[in-house]
Amino acid sequence: MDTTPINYKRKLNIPWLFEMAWRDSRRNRSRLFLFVSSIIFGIAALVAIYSFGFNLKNDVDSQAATLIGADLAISDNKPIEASMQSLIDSLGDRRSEERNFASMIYFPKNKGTRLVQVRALKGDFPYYGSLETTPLQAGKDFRNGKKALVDQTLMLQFDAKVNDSIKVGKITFLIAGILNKAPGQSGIQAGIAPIVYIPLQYLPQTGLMQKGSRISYNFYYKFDKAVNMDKLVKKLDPRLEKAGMNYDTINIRKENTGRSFGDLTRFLSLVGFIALLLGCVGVASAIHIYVREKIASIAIMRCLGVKAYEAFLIYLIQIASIGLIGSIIGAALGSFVQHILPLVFKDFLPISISTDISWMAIGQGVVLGVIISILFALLPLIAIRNISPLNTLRISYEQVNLLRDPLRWFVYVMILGFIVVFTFLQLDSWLGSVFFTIGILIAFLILTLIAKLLMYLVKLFMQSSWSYLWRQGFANLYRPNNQTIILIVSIGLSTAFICTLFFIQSLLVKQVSISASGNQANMILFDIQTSQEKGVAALARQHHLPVLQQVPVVNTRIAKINGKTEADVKKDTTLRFSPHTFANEYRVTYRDSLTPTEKITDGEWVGHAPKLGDVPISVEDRFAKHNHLKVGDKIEFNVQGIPVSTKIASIRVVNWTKMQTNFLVVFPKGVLDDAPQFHVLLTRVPSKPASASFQQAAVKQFPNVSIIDLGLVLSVLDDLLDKLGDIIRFMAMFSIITGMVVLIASVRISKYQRLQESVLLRTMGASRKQILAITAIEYFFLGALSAATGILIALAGSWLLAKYSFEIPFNADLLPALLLFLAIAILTIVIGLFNSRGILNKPPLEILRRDV
Amino acid sequence: MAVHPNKNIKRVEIILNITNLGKTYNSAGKTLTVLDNINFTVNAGSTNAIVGPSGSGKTTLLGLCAGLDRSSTGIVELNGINLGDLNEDKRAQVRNQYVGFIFQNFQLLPTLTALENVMVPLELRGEKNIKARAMDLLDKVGLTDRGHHYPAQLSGGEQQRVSLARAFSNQPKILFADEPTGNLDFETSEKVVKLIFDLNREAGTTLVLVTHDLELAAKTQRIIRIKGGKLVADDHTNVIA
Amino acid sequence: MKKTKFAGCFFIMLLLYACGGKSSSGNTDQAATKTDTAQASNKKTILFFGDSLTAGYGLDDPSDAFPGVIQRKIDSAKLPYTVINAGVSGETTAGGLGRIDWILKQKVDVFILELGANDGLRGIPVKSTAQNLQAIVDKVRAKYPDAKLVMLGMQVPPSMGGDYVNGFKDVFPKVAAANKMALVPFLLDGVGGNPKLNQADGIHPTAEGAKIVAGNVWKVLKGEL
Repeated sequence: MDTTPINYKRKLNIPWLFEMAWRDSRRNRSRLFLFVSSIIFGIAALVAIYSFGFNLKNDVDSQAATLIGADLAISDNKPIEASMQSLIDSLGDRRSEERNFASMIYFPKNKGTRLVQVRALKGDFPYYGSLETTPLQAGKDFRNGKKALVDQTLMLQFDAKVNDSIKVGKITFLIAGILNKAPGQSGIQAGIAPIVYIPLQYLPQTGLMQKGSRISYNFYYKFDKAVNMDKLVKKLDPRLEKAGMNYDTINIRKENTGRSFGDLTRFLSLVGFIALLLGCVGVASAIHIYVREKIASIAIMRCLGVKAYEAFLIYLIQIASIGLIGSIIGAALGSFVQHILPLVFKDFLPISISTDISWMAIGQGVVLGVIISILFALLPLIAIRNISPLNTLRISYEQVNLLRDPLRWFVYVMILGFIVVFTFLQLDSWLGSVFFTIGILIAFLILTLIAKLLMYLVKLFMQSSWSYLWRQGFANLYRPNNQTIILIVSIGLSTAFICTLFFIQSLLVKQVSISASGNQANMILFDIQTSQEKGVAALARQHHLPVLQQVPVVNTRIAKINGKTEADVKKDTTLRFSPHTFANEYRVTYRDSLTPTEKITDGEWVGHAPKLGDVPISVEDRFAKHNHLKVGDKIEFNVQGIPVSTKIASIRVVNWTKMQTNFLVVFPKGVLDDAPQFHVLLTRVPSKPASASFQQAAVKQFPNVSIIDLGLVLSVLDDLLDKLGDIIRFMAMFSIITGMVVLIASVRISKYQRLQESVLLRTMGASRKQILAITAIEYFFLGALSAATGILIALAGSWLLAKYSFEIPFNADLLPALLLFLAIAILTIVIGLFNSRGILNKPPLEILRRDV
Repeated sequence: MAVHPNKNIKRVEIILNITNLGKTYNSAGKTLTVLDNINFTVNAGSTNAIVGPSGSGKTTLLGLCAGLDRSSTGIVELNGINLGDLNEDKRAQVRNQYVGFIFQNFQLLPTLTALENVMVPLELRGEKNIKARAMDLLDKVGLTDRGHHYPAQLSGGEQQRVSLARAFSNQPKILFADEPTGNLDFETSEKVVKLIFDLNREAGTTLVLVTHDLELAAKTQRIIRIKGGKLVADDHTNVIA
Repeated sequence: MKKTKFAGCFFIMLLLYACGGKSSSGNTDQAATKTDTAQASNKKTILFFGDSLTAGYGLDDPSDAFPGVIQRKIDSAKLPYTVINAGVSGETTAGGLGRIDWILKQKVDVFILELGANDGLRGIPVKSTAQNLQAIVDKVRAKYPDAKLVMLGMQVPPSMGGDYVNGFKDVFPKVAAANKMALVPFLLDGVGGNPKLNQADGIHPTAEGAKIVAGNVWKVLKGEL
């Protein structure tokens, strides 16, 4: 008898591997679909959230662009130097020029004069948004002739109508339209005076441009192709800086507008990150169970002579393909959802969100889907190599531990690396990504630990005296083939993500609504003399305007800190106070209580000054830090000639985002009451006519009082801030719902874990009720425990996020968290029961035949 | 590896040589001896049965003989190849080349059709004309028209016949059968057993079957008895010279 | 990095904190920081009562503001006068009127009135500015009848519009003449409108500009001492 020599180095037959992968996938397509569904939902969530977030960001950006009206604005308060002219003329694809200055204009009709801000404009500015005027076309047409646009409140104040005239300098302009809204206004600049637009070509004739005139020169640029403005201005900065010119971009304006935009961006990143992880959870749990079910087949193949790596490759090919198909379907579904949802919720959505198909998001989703599938499949797949063919003779679950391979550490590192890199793409900060990843890792470990603990404790405490149903239900948690770890981890992580989104969402919405208008002041009256204080307040009330705040302001200066004067500080550099601390003037107030936006972080607030000794004052947190001041330090103030010795009694944190008067230093009542002071009054005018009539009356009665009407400025901003809150809420709900779907899918794939047993029990005559009870007990413990753990993780995570990423105070709403806990626990049971429904409604044999 | 200087001299070839074979498992700090110092040889073309009560270690012995597992001590020489020298992948190749399997619970790949199940060993060897050969084998086991059915759509007997066709598809030198009739009714068993022996004779394959069915064992030329992990009897009485 | 700032006007400082800006670093009077020395050495007192121009807004060292320069001139001329800087950034004539009583608690020998610029930049009616200035002068006269008074004249940029510019300019000579005060016709003569002598905001003189401003004042003031 002869033997053919064995060629151990058999060539890899790749087409055959593909064919095997294909064949293996054909049977029980419905079952495969269940596995794929997790991938689909995970990726759909990812793509939907991405494209939605992507479009949203674009839309918010374009709305934010109307704050400035151009891609880039450059300004100078002196005529442009010749050396800069070429630079000024070379930037952008479209340019506009504007000169603005304060001037007294004259209404010939009723002989009124008023300080306004004249804006002489040339070009098509604004490029984003528009000069909103009545009539509509006036915003464009006024540029063609001796025409002007006049601020609405001003028109009302002087009872002017369109086609009346105003005199600016020596020239009379026809009022072409009423200006309702204009971009390019900065709060303070625009607030000084109402705006009047005139065409630039008539400016010289007005005679207002002379030596000594205070004119600011503005240039607005639009770039037709996408240009990275941040990079551009960084490049321009030194030259502009040298020439004493200022610039502004949409991003800078957003930064300066307050934190809301930053918060939104960060929130969208967080949502993207969480979407990814939800995708991971969905995919990972599906693949894990899928591969586990393939152990028998792999053992047979091994028996027939399939090499370990061939078996590995067959399933890698299969899973990569399934991942690809699932991702493509998921991407399509996600795009569909993001396309449909805004239409469905049109009425609830704060801004019109474009529903463009984001190929970027789709591409990202598909690539991520495949990567995640492969990465998470690798973990059980590398173990395939270790599946002994002996399993054909006796299937022993104990021996087939899918997670016992030294190579798995390599896979763990790959997964972590992937999360870090991906998070970096979202957050743009390595430190942040590392922290996020560590956070996820810790959450994962906690959940695994909890699962192990549960198994251990159940095993330990189970009493044989318990009824069979309880024993069986509990035993399911730790017996071989249990699904405790995988389900606790996936349910727990999903819950943690959903809950984190929920917490952060409500924190941010709270934060944004503080910044947004609501009943915030939009008119400031200042320079009110003490003698006029009551009169102005009375006048406001007479006009049915609320006196939101009325505060005295006293000018002071710091003479000594802890006994050291400016001269001492200049001499002794070891003292850490800046000499500027002494050069600066401090406008302080005095009152007996804190405002709602202030919080004491150190020391104790004192509202009334004691008769003797140092005056206890309160100092703002950042000011204190900057000057190295602490509670107990002594500051001697010079209140216009009178020295006042004080002692820092408390350090305060102030929410500066709110439109109100805030102070670095607050005195208690009883010290500065008689010092020279003026008063500031904040009110909110409901409409432009109301504003006009109040201003008219106030100017007449109190000519020295200056009024700033922020209505125009705030209306653009307020709209946006109001919307941001809703956007954040919507985005969170959207993600939470997708999270729920992923969670459902992950629990759903556990369907086959219990199938054989349930059928067996059924065969042995277990009643429907008994099987349901056993299932319910198992799933209740899985659901409840993982949801509770997930929520606790979310609490910790949200606290960290709030503190370090969003930098907002954390306070959790526990009721919604409790509801979420119940919802997830119940959901888990329901899906668990739903999983066994098929078993209960059909004859056992049919199920065994079909689903083996 | 056997070499034949003179093909005219008829010699009894040894296909399986078991020397001092032992297998122990370590579990929870205790050492469990499953097989202890087993020695025997199997002649090429012979039919052999390993019998013994449940838990006597006969399935383990089969696994070791077929190279599905590594022995703790001793040597398994299959067709002159010391399996102890080979890693799992190389053993897989040896199995693919020389060994056929029949299992108590058939062990067909559930996601593959009957025909594809038969084709797998051939495909692994990268042979030609696979489909025709596989159809031919299905023909022999009387399942000509069931080739495109999935295992779950076949009865137990049919499944076992498919696995028989698969086992013979790579023209193995030795066929291992683990309780091949264990899951079958009497009548079906008869048929399957007949098929096994017929195909075996036809292909000149060596047969090693594990069973506790003495009637089945009696059909072989030799009965090896195992008890408590030890070889207790080696009955050559069935030998047909 | 330099971002757009709008620190243009005298009174903007108020807004900066009113609107939540952080830099409420105005710069005001050194009112009577030298009171002690003044009284201790029996010197006479020159009180500069004004706004940020007096206070030296934006200067690293407030003593570089024009009253400080004048103190140095006095010192080098060995005249027995001590300058008191009672400037408050953003001060209007109305604010000055509200504050004058507090300031007049100290003895004044020469009272120099430098207010009105903020009225002008805010477009406050000329009449109101004139009334407030008159009221301040009245109060000084009432308390210290022997004090010598100097009026520092201001102008607003031509961009404010001809009528207002002229009306505003006329306030100072009118009030000065009515009260027989010495008058510096235009405080910022030779400085206003010259970017090199003004800070980036275009309004407040640099230390260099303050020297010229002090020169403008000194021409008139030295005759009064």
